[in-house]
Amino acid sequence: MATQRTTRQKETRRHLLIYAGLTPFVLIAVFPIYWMLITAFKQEPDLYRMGNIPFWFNLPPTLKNFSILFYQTHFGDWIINTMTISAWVALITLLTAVPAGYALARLRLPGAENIGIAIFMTYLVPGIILFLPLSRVVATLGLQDSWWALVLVYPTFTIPFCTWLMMGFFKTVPMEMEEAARVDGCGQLGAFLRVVLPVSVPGVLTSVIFAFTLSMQDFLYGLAFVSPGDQKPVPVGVPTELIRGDVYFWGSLMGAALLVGLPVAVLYNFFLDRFIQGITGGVVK
Amino acid sequence: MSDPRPVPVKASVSRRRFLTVAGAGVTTSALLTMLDARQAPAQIRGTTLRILQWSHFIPAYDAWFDSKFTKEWGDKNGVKVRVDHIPHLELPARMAAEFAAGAGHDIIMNASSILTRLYYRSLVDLSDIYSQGGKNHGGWIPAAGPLVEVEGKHYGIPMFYILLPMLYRKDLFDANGLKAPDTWELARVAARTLKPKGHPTGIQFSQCADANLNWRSLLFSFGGAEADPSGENILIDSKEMREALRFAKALFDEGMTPEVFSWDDASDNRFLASGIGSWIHDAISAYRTTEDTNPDVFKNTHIGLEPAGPGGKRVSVSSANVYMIWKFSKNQPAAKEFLAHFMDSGKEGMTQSRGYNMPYLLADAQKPMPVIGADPKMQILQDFPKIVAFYGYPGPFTTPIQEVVNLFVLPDMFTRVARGQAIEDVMKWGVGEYRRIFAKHKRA
Repeated sequence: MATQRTTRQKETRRHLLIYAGLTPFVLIAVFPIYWMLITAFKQEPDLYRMGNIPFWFNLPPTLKNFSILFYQTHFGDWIINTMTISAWVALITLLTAVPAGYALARLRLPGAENIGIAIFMTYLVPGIILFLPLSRVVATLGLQDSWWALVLVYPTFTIPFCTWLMMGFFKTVPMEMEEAARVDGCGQLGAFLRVVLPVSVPGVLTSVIFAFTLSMQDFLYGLAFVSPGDQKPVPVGVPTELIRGDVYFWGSLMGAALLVGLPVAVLYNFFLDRFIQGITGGVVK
Repeated sequence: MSDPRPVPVKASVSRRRFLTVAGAGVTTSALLTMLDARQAPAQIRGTTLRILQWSHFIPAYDAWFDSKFTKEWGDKNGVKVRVDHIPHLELPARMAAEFAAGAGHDIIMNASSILTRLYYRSLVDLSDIYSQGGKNHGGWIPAAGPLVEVEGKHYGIPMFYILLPMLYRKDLFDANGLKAPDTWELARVAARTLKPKGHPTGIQFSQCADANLNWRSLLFSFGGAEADPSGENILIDSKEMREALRFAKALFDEGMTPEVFSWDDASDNRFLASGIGSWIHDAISAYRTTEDTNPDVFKNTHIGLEPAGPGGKRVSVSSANVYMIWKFSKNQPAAKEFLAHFMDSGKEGMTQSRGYNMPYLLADAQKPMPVIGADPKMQILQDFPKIVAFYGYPGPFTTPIQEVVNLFVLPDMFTRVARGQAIEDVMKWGVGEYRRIFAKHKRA
């Protein structure tokens, strides 16, 4: 009995120490979200007066900032645009990066390794260089000032990254599994669809999440190619209507960031284990 | 005896010539009549006009411009008008994209960064409506022309500019027996007196638009200059520049706190609204917003004329706004008609912008101006058109000056001195940067 108690005490002490060590990191990570949350519900005067305690409400909370967001801006359109663009980009990326990654990782193509590196290198070319030539492409295709322009250009950075990611992941799938499928009568495509792809779901999910979030956070392409208020994605729409010269609508800005950031954070949490598995899958062979 | 028959006169004008001259005359008089009556030619009916501009400080101004002003003009002239907005600091990026694509909006606005000289070969010559606007409204303020004039032609229409006056807490000044900051020296004395009492001052020692504007106002009021009227020669290497740097260092040491090194364009707004700042040098948005955020501060904040330098000179460097038409625009006649109409509506623009939009046209600058003429605290703003200047003063806003502005060379010089570098070292660096940039553009 006494031994049991000692073990439990040790275990509790160990956990306490772990949580004590983690607490500062959690506070640092969570503080910006907390700040965003309370600012979104604060009245304007509550944000500026020096006598106020900034970490809590000094005046009653308000929904005015959200009212501005939804009734005086195109926020609803921006959300729909962002989600639609991101979904299209994720789909296009998946349809391209998965077969490309598989081909480069598994088909023993000559120069596959170098091609993989070359594809990844294109991801490293910054948008600030690419947006000028791309604007010509967008205008020629008649997509200027439509969010479809972004569906066209975002895959230029999502496909290289996700191809590289999928290459790493496919390399971790034992060759013997695929060979066994071939012995059992599957063709190359059948083995890929029935054996390799199902065990690569964490990698595929990671690619989807990356493609989705990379599309959601772009600013430059959105700015360069889409200017009508109802066509903009969130990252361009929010600063356009909520930062006017040197006047910042802080409450509404934080509200917008919160409404967009929270679902993504929840999404990440749902797939966290698989996401980590996907990210780290390629590091060991 | 004379021959009673009529003498046949040899026709000096052929029928073809007569028709040509008569046709031109009718067309010109019709155009002049239309211009005078502000009636658009029939050819623009059924067209679409696309305008790109910033998001104005006042949301209601955008609502008026997008839904009423442009709509009424569009309905009257049979033109469908679409107005798009992007943040003002991002206009150059969008302009570069449209230039590269050779497609985009018909009318594009520049705010603060005026790129007329950079793109003039791709812009429509607007000299005719510029001249007509000047004639109709008593001429332009002297600083307007150099913003848009290239090789004797006007490639843009300056519509309005945004002032950065002195905003000071009169209650704090009065309580400490301080005079209004009518000179930079008085502003420094106030900062030195009020900082120990918990009310420092602040101007951005950082890379932001306000720093570019504010430090130039100080420099030019000290008698300094950036480039000569030809825009070719740098004038920054002067004793006035050194004086201005010395003054800024003293102002920082005596009256500011180090937070100004991290300030952006909105930091001084927050500083004033917090009730801490004793004075700032900023757009009236900083004052206006305190009406909601801190009514006590709003009540006690007063607006001052640009402080005079040691020689009594006042130069207020303001944020310019200019409208241009792309050559690739498929609807240039409508775009020109609209800009002419916009020029004629300066006073309405001032009203709708609650006094933010300051006029370049002299008739619009007559007292009393709309909104600010009726507000006792803001009436002083009516004296600014006499002292307003833009980047490059007294020279024009050239492409090298634009690069100097975009690289924040001048604010960096002030920041380096405030951080403790020797003035001569900073001068060597800053003048070197100016020379490098000017030489690069000369080669180009």
